[in-house]
Order: sequence, then C-alpha cells, then structure tokens
Amino acid sequence: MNSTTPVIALTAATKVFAVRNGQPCHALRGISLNIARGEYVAVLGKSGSGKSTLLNLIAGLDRPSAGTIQVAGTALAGMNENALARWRGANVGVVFQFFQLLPTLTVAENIMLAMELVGTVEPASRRTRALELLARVGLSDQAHKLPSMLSGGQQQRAAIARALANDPPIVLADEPTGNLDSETAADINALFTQLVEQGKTLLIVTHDANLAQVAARVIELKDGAVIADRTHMQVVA
Amino acid sequence: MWWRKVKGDARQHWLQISLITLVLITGTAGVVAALNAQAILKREIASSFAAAQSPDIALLFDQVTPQLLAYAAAQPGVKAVDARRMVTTRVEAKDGTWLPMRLTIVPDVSELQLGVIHVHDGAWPAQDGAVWIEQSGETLLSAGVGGSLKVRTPNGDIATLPVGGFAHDTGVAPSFQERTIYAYVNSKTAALLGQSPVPDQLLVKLEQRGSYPETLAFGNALNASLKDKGQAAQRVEVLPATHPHDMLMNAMLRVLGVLSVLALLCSAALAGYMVAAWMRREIRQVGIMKTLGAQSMQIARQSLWLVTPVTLLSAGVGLMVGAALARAMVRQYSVTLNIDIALWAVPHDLLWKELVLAIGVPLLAMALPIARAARMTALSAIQDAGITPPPSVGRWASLLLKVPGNVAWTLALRNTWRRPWRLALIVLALTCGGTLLLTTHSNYESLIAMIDTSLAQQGHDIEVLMQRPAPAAQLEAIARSVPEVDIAEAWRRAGVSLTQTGASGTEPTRFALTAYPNGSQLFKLPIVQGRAPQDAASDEVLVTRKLQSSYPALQVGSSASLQFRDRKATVKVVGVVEEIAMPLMYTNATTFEAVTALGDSASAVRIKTRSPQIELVAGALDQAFLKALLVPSQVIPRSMVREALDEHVKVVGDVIRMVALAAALVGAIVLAATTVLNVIERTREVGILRTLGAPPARIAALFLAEGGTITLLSAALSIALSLGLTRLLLNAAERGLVNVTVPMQFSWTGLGILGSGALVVLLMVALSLAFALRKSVRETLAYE
Repeated sequence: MNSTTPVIALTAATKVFAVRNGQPCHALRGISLNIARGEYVAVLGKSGSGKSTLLNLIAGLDRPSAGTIQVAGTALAGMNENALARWRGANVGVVFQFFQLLPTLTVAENIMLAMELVGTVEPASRRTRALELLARVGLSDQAHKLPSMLSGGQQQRAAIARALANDPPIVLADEPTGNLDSETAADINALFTQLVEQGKTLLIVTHDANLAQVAARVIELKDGAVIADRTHMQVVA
Repeated sequence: MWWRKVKGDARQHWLQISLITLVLITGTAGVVAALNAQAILKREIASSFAAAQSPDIALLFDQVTPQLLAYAAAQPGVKAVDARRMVTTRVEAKDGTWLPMRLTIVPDVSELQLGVIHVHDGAWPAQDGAVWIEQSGETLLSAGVGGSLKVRTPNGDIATLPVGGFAHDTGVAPSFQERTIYAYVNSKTAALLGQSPVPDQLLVKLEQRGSYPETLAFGNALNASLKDKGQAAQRVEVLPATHPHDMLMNAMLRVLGVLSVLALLCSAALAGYMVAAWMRREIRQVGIMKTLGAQSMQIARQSLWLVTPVTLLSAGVGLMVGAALARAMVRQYSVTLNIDIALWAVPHDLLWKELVLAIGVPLLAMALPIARAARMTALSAIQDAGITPPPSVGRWASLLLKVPGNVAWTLALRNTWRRPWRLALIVLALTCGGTLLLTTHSNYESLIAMIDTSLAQQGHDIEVLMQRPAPAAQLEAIARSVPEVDIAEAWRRAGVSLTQTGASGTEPTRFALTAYPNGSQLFKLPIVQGRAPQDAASDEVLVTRKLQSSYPALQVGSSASLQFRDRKATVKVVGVVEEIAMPLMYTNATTFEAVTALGDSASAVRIKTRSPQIELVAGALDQAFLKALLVPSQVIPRSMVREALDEHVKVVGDVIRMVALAAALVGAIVLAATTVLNVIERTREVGILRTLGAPPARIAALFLAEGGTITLLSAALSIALSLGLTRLLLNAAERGLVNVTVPMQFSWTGLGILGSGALVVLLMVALSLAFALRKSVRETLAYE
C-alpha cells in the first residue's frame, strides 16, 4: 500500500436496521469516503445521524447492508468472525465512551490481554510494552490497579493505551470525552494529537467541538448521509 | 404511563423473566412435592396400618378355645381379641420353584377382627375351598383369580386349590420384598390343605397401647391370670406397633423435605440475583426517572408490578406441578410399603404454608435488589459506567489470583471469583447436590457389597428347613444321596429366650439358638471378637452383633441364662460373629444339647454343592426329602436369600434415588440459572473481548474454563465430603440396621452421573455463549 492509497475506503456503504414495527431504519445511506494514512478525522452529527454506525463498520464491529469497506488494505466483506477478530486486534484500536476496561484485570493486564489475544508482541516483551504505553498516557504509577480504582479520565487514558497495545495503524474513538469533564477532556485531546503526530490514522466520533476543532478533517453526517466533509483550513475559514 | 413502562420492560426482559419463572416453578414444585408427599405418607402409613387393626400382643397356646377368647376379651384394657393358626408351608411360584407361604387359618377370612385384610380383587366374602393371597405376591405367582395354586401339604403332597382372590394386608411388608407369600384360608379350606383348623394364637389389641415394656407387662399379666385358670400360654409376644418400614420412610421423607426447602431457597436466591443483574442494567434508567422527579417508591413499584405476577404465576403452576409430583411419589411408595392411600388430600394449613413460602420467599428475594436500586441517588445512577466492578471481596481476589504468563486465563480465573457470594452459592449448591448424589450411590453400592460379602461368608449354598425335626444322620444321608452334593450337615435350631430383659427394652426376648455339628465345615461366619466354641465344651456360645446390640450385656466372657421351654441353662459368650440383621446365638451340638435336650433330631440341613446350578440341586434335594417322607418347610438356595436381601436394600435404594433426585434438582436449578445469567450479564464483556481481537472460539474457551473451574472445584469438594458422609452413614447402618461390617464402596456410577452433570453444565455455558456470540460485536457492546 503506497502513501496515496487511502487507509480507509468506503464505497456506497449502507446500513439498514430492521425495527420493531417492520419499517426499516436507514442508519447509513450509501456513504463513499476515503481517509488517508495519518489523517485526523472527526465525525460530527446529531444523535441518530449514523456516526457510531460508521465507526462500527470501519472497525468491523458490524457489517454493512450494502457497499464495500476496505480498511488498512483489507476488504472486510467476506471475512468470517474469527478472521475479522484477528484483523481488528492487529489493525484497529478502539476507544469507547465508557472506557470498557475489563474490571477484574489491572490496568496493565488490560493492555497485555490485547497483545496476548492478537499475538503480535512477544510474550516476554508484553509487560514492558504495557508499562511504556501507560507511561505515554501518564499512568505509570497506576499500572497495578484495577480500573474501578481509577478516575474516569484515568480510565479513558488507560483505554487509549490499550487501543495502542498492538501498535495498530488506525485508532477509532467513539465519544471518547463524552463522559469526562472539560479539563480531563483536554488531556485526552492532547493525547490524540500526539498519536496523529506519531503517524496514526485517527477517526473520532464526537459531539465535543473542542475535539473536532483539533481534527484536520471534519465529516458531518445527517440522516445517514455525509452533508459536509471539510479540512481544518476550510473549517477555520 | 407506568403501565406502558412495565409492558416495555416485560418485552425487553422476556428471557430473564422466563428464566425466573422457570426457576421459581421448579423450586416451588420441588418443595410442594416433598411436603405434600411427606404429609400424605406420614398420615396414610399410620392410618393404613391402623386400619389393619394389627394386634398388640400374641399369646401362643396348643389350642385357643372360644371360652379362652371370651375370657381375654372381657379383661379391662382389652379392645379386641381374635384367634388364628399360622403355619408355614410352600407354594409353587411362577418360575416353578417353591416359595415359602405363610398361611393364616381363621374360621372366616371375611370376618377377621384383628389383622384385618380387605378385598383387592375377587369375590368377597371369601368362600370355602379357595385361597386368598396378599396382593403384593401376585407377581410372584402364575395364577390369577380363579386360577389354580399348588400348595404343599404337611405330608409332602401337593394340594391344588383355586385362588379365591387377592386381599390387601396393610400390616405386612410386600411379598416381593420378603420372598414370602401371605395366604389366608377359612378353617374348612385348611383341612383341604392338610392343616389343622384349630387356632393356636390368641391375638389381643389394647385400648391404649403403651411402650414395649408396658405392653409386655400387660401380656404377662394376662397370661398370669390365665395360668390361674389353668390355661397358661406357652409364650407371650409383643407385636410391632408400626409399619415395618415406617421409621426408615419417615427419616427419608424428612431428608427429602429439607432438600426441597433448600431447593426453594436456592431458586428464590437465584431469582433475586437475576433481578439484581436486571436492576444493574436499569440503573441509568433509574437515574433518568429520578431526575424527572420519580420517587424511590414509584420506581420500586414499577419493578414490583413486573415481578409480582411472575411470582404469583410461578407459585400457581409450581403448586399444581408439585401436587402432581407428590401424587406420583405417593403412588410409588404405596406399592413399596404395601399400604392403602385412603385420602389424597393435603391438610389445609400445609397448603397455606406452601402458598406463603412459594410467594413470600421469592418475592422477598426479588424485592431486595429492587429496593436497593430504587434507593440509589439520581447522580450515582446516571454516572453508572455499565460494567460492574467486582465487589470488595472479589477485588482482593482479583489482585491475588493470577495464572503466570497468561492474562486470558488470569481473566477467566478472576471472573470465577468475581462475585464471591454467587460463587459460594453455586459451589455450595453443586457440592450439596454432588455430595448427596455420590453419597447415596456409594451407600447403595456399599450395601450391595455387604450382601455379597455376607453371602460369601456363608459356607452353604442351600438350606433345607424341615417341617418336623428328624434324626440328623438320616437327614445328612438323604442329602448326600443327591448328585452334586459335596457337603451336607444337619443343623439344629430352637427358639430360646434370655431370662433377663433386653437393655433397650424394645427388642423381642426370643431368638434362635442355632447349632452346627461338631467339626462343621460349613460354619464359616467371621468371628470378629473372641473365638469359636470348643467341640467338647457344653456351655459355650457365639452371639451375632445384632443380638449383642439388643442385649449389650452379652459381651465376650459374660454368662447368660437361657430358657428353652421349662429348661434353664447358663452359657458363656466366647465370641461374636457377623450376620446381616440376624439376632442369633450360634453354638456347637454339645452346648445345644445341654440347653435343649432335644436329642439327635435336627430341623435343618445345610448343603454345599459342586454344581454351579444351585437351583437344580435344591429341586433334587426337595424331591429326595419328600421321597423319604421327610417334608421340607422351605428349601432356600443362595439366590433366594440374595433376592430377599436385594429387595430390602432396594427399598433403601428407591428412597436414595429420590434423595439424589432432589439433590440434582437443587443443583440443576442453580446451574441452569447461573450459567445462563452469567453469560447474559457479561454480554458486553464478550463484545469488548471481540473488539480486542479475540475470536469466538477463544472467548468460548475462557467461559468454559470458568465453568470448568467451578465444576471441578465442586466435584472435588463433593468427592471429599461424600467419602466422609458415606463412612458416617455406613457406620450408623452398621450399628443400628445391619449389625455387620459394611465394606465402603466408592460409586463410580455416581461419579459417572456427576461427570455427565458437569458436561451438561459446560454444554449450557456453550449454548448460552453461542446465543451471545450470534450477536454482532456492535450488538454485544450495546447490550444493556
């Protein structure tokens, strides 16, 4: 994959959910989208606009009803659940609004588990790498604690460290600051900026205007369709 | 509006609601079945036995005259009297062998005053010339009502008489257990069988029966007054006051009751847990509603509106299913116990108690988590993160438990300990179930092994009991003339009594003194204490453990005063032998003669054969003795003893199976609910693992490892506890029931069933997980 090839490419991606009264709900309506390597993209939109659905399709957490999705050089269609899980663990780091750390594992173990499941990092190096990642997010002294012993901001930073466990080229975050106060959100924001500077492709679904402001590209969705796709320069202008 | 919320919740939580309903129905049905069965059987065993008007005392004479009967009936404290003759003969069984038959001869079978029987099948009242058979023996015989029955007469001939009908005698244990046919004939029919119609037993029923010593004292006083009139009885016997299996059944039914209550408590606790898990997922909604102004009581009321109909429905269905199960159980036991069920109704107060239990206990268990959730502050409810952190105990367990070098297995191990109270409940329930299952099976197999050992310790293969004593040498010579007979020994037997009363005051004072010939090759019972009597000794005896348990004074080295008819002799106890539940005294021929002065006559021949076809040799022996005009009253091959012992153990085995079933019920309820609940409430965790790159097979392995850890832990505890409990119960059986050493067997069958149960657990985990893994990762992550 050369540098001009998009790391995320959606072609006419559509997602339709069956709803209870029999009426289909069109979460995404034929979206086509290319995201280049190292891009920092924020996806904005009102609730129900299809933001999270878009992220889920890119992460391989859900399958499109129609259209194709190619991420990190891999076409996701046709991959079975096992292959999809292995691919996801190696290529995509996902950060959730509610952190989703496993409560019975310490912070370091949460990160090591991600490495163990994928197997890209040698067993002997896993602890060292977990501690390095925690140092990068400022949690060196919290490595041995259970998630419930950490504050919300600390948990989110731990979740980001876990997302980077296998050094994936892509990081996807769903409302990562939605559950945090503004000061903590700013810290998380800075962490994301660092990730982009280190060459990661970052796609964030957010309501947070501050977070979107830092993004190089802002995609706006409404009723499952892209209504705006602007670079930072355009947004500023 | 709130009603819509209730409807919506019902739709959203249909799986949990269905599980709660199922669990509660199972628990309620279990407890109702056990309590109803216990109530019906306890009442009916007693009333059925009472309906038989079983006599309290039997006085044995040469002849009971009408004057004697009238005199006894007129005594104060006497409620009723009756007279009968009871003899033992033989009847041809379905398979052509000859079974022992206890023949009760009365003037009119239809007019019994005591030991009453009633018609089961056939034309009543009983006609002369026909034999009435106790209905539990029907399966052992080839003849139905009107069919022909071949019965041995005292001189060895065969009398063929029609079966008048089948009667029900609720005072006796079933024929199929005792391997004895109970028959009833009128005096005129007795003559056709060559039997004397003259009654020799005077039966007395007291107005108010007291304890054993009191009843015995009454009998002795009555006999003393008869002696004054010159009509003293040869013997006074106190008869049992309860059904033969009454004590065992009541004990077992109590165990069933306790287990069933445990099952209900487990099911209620699980319903509570399920509601707790459900409320955790509702917490954010609670926060929203509180923010909108809802009060704790309003929120609690909504959930209670949902669980109350579930509880009422479960109680209703559970009560009906339980009542049906109870009827099935009682029907089964009425056959095993040979009793009549006159009334199937359950006492009203018990029904009310069951209703309160079935509604109150689960409702209370489910109301607690609802109240806890409803009382949360709006802020803490709204800020709830969704994935439950481990409670404090689980938190420490999380930090301490670790599988070195493997985080995934560490996760599985810690998740096992994540909810310590739930884990404790599961392990406790599974261990209880497993322990009872293994213990009951091990006990049953140990008792069977005991029978094997006991039979192996008998030196003979066949015992021929004679109707009348005959010269020992003649009996042995006849037996040895039969082909394949290896050893034949004439044994002697006489009913003796100790002149002192048994220490327990509840045991019969009469027992058999059995003598083997000097130099016997067939007396092989293990002497567990002391030594065998010396051949030349004339005052040495051995006692069985059973006799020793009735008379604790009969220790090795002690002396005992024996009475045979008018003779008294003092003997010395030189050793103790073991024989299943037999209160016997063994001795040599010299001592026997010193006690009884019966001379050379013997009443039994014990035979060892060279042939493996013991029954054929038994048949040949029967013919040989009949040909010599010496009539056997019973020919008992080893297989007949085996069948009788097996049938008795089977009664215990049936109850054991019921107990094991109840234990399995407790385990099944816990398993079914917790495994499914565990997977459901951790659906989002499955989503996280899949997001992190764990393939479904890996996730399944983790959950199966958790289930496997719990199952193995419970199995290990069950095995350890069952070994101790089995030994404990066998010790109790050794002391109070069989009075022989019971070799402890560990039941591999039980372990196999336990292993199958473990596989079912893992299968349920796998199925629940397959259900969760069918969802897309997005759905599992969004699962609330």
